[in-house]
Amino acid sequence: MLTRKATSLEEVYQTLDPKPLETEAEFDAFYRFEVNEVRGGDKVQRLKLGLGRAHGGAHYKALFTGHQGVGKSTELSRLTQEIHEQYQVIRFSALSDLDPVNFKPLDVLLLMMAEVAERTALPREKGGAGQKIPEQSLREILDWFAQDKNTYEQKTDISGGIEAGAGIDATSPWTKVLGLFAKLKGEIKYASTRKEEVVEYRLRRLNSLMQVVNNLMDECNKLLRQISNQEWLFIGEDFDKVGIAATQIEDLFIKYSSIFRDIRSHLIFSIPIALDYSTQANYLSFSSDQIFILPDTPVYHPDQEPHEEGRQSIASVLDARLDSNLFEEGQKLRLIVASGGNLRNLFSLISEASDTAILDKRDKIGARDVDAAINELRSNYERSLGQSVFDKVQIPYVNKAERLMQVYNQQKEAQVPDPVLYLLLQARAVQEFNGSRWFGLHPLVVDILHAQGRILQSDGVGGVRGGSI
Amino acid sequence: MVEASSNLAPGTVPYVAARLWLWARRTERGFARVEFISEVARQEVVRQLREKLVQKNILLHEIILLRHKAPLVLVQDLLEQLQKLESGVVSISGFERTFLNEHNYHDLVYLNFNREKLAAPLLRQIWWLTPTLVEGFLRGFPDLDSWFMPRLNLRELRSVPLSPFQSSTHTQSIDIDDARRRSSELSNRLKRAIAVGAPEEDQASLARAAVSALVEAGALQEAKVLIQSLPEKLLAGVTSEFARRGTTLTTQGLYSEAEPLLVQALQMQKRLLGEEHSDVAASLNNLAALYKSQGRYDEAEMLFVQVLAMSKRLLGEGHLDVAISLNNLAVLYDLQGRYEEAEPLLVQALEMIKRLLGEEHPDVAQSINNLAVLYDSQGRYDKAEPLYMQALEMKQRLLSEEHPSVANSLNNLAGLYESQGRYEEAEPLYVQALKMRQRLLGEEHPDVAISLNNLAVLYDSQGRYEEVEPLLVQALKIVAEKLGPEHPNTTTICQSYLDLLSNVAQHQPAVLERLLSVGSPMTKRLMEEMRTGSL
Repeated sequence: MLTRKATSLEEVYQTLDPKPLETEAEFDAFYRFEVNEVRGGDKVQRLKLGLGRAHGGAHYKALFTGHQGVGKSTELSRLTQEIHEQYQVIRFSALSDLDPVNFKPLDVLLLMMAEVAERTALPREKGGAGQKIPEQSLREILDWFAQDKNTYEQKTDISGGIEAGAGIDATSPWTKVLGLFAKLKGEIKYASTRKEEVVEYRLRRLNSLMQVVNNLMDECNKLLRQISNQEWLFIGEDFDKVGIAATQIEDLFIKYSSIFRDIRSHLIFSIPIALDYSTQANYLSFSSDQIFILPDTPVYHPDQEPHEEGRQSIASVLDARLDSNLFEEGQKLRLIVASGGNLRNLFSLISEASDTAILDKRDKIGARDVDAAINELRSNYERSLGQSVFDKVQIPYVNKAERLMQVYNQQKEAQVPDPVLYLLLQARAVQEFNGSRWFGLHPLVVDILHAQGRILQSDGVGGVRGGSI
Repeated sequence: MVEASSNLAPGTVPYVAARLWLWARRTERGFARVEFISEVARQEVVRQLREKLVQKNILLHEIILLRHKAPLVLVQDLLEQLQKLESGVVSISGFERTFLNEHNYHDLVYLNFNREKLAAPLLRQIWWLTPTLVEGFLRGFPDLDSWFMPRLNLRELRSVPLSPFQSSTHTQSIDIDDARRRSSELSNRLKRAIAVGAPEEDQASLARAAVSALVEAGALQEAKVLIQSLPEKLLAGVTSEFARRGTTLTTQGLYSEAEPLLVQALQMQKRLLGEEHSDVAASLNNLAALYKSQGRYDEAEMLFVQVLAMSKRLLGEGHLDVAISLNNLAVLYDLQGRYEEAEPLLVQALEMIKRLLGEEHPDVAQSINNLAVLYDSQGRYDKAEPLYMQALEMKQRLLSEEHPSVANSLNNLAGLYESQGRYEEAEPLYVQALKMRQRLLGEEHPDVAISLNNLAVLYDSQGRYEEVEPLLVQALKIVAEKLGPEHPNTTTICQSYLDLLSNVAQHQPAVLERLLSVGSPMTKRLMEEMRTGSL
């Protein structure tokens, strides 16, 4: 990715990669704080504050959530950079480190245990603490698993080596623990091949495992503090990905929420936003001030008046990535509004419009290119709105349209969560904005309702209030 | 040729090829998604893109995914194939073979969960997706869909450039030139009818006949071109020609010829009538029935479940179509040995059919028969026998003494007797069913193969090995040709045949000698190999 703004249409694709920002250079070039001001403050600063207070004291635990494409991963990367003096972050993903179809709550705990031990032993230049874990802790781990008679019968398929601290004796407890972790990680990654009785057996011994893990966490944190005054912070991501069964999520965050409550470590986990809306949220072992929602950036106010600050903040993001001369007059604003403030939508609209302009051998994005790009995205929204056999819950379009109209008209009952609202949120037809947590419609959805004759309020220039311009 | 020139119409082959070229030449890694309808148009895009890439020394690899039973295996297979490639552009097609329709769309999770791994190789990947799959992405996995950039839509339909009609052993008998002449004459009459404002039924009838002439001759592409030229109000009628022909071919056991027709009928109806329509449900059902006959049970199940849900939504819980759907699904479960799931559906279907059609109706007989089959499969013979008898008697009375459905009942009853060791009673019924099927369906129908196999197994149980061999060889010949090697019936018959040979080779020296002299060439060769120990 280029880390300067694109100055020609041919360069546009290089600065509009929708991947989360990761490196310092990318943040310096492209991150704009203005966006946080219009979405209810900087959540990273809030998390940082909490983590700052917790350092050396109580363990900080938080959940992080938000709709697709709002920039959750980018924000967590920014957090990682901002707290690096006090915390070493262990990031892991439900998709790549666990078996997303079959993982069980205990897997998360076992993974955290293996990760913290390995990272503590890993040389410092490789992101570890380079410390030797006391034999007592290792023996506890080995003893616990020694009772786990079935463990070694499982099919494991390990890829990638695990780096041990230097100078360790091949027969030492550490070597044995490493072997054990390698097997465990294989099991966790390929959970479908594991015997059910192993999981059940381990769950029955959860309390004693918790004790072992906590002793290990204490030791590892102590070792890290000794050399750098840092502590370990776990960031568990991708638990909000579509396709992870709701039952798995509920098992982890509700049924076995004691894991999070009792573990003696700092942690931040991503959760599906639907969990936060659901009645189950009351059973989370996190209080509301431990749950952070990253909302969308509005381009309209609830009364469909233009949200100038929102539009300006998106424009600042865009200005960092593209030269304004690449747009004919008025087109940049049209794209910003049509994106509904969602950066993924915005980048996709601009890439589409830019390619159309290139094929037409023009060096600026013009009205026709923007029209085509908006039409394409709008047709996607249209397809995701109708009733479909793809929907888990069959809801006729007329019911969806009714709810959309309620949201458009800012009727309070429209915000009461139910399957209709979930579907519309998942389709991103309804967006959630901050301030006083209000919902609004994506401008392209407003266009669709307008075309259907459901919304008649004109913006005075041929469009509809709250729609694309 | 791919040219970055102006005025390319979006959705056309040159436009999509130009957009892909623009993308492919400037990036090293990424995903492009192209929604397509026409396979011919898709291949043309690939061809045009390849021409351009070659000039820049960029490799274009093609991965055509085969049908996988488990989506995870498909993903692993795709990953392996991608990891073998070092660089360049990869065109990947065939996702729809595994992610068939909306009922297993949830399997797309495996693509979603593995997206980082799929994106890891330094490749530019073009994913070719059918509209159904795109809808699955948009609906179920919008965040996965956002990984694709560009997202293109190839709307152009192209015809096969070479032979304009499909040939087959079956359709060759119809003179294609004659069919074309008839179709052309009917088309001209239709044009005149439209010009003079003739009644719509007359126009519809001419349109149907013109399309039908081509469809009957197997000239599907020409029929499609003709359909595209027709006024929209006539389309629903002509679409049914595809469905009708497809169903006829299914009944005749000409499955591979039936499939494109039924798929085509379904696609056209969806376009014309929308996703939710009773005609669409009927087309889905026809396709499901075909898959069932081919032993493609998973695919059949998805479609039958879909039909059932749609029928309930469109027609209400108490409609006859719902009863038929319940029955169809249950029969499929029965075939798969899922008896506990099948029974309540069958009982419910029978009750509904009786209520809706009255006690004296062939469909009631069929429904009773189906329930009997289930009890038979479960070994509940005392419950099965009276129901078989009742169904047979009703069919003979309500349909006729000579009817494929009567042959089915005879076959079923014979099977029941055989299971109970009542061979003397079973044999005449099996023979009667076989002969009836041969007369009514033709010597090479897959159902004839079933009869041959059943009779063979009966003879085998009685130790009449020499009589078994010709029956199984004949049955094998039919299923190998009509059903293909993967069909469960092919496997069953093949197993019967191998069991016979192995038994004879080991325990029946006299029969062995006899078969070595009078058996079929295949039998002789295999027996020889068994005897010499090379098998």
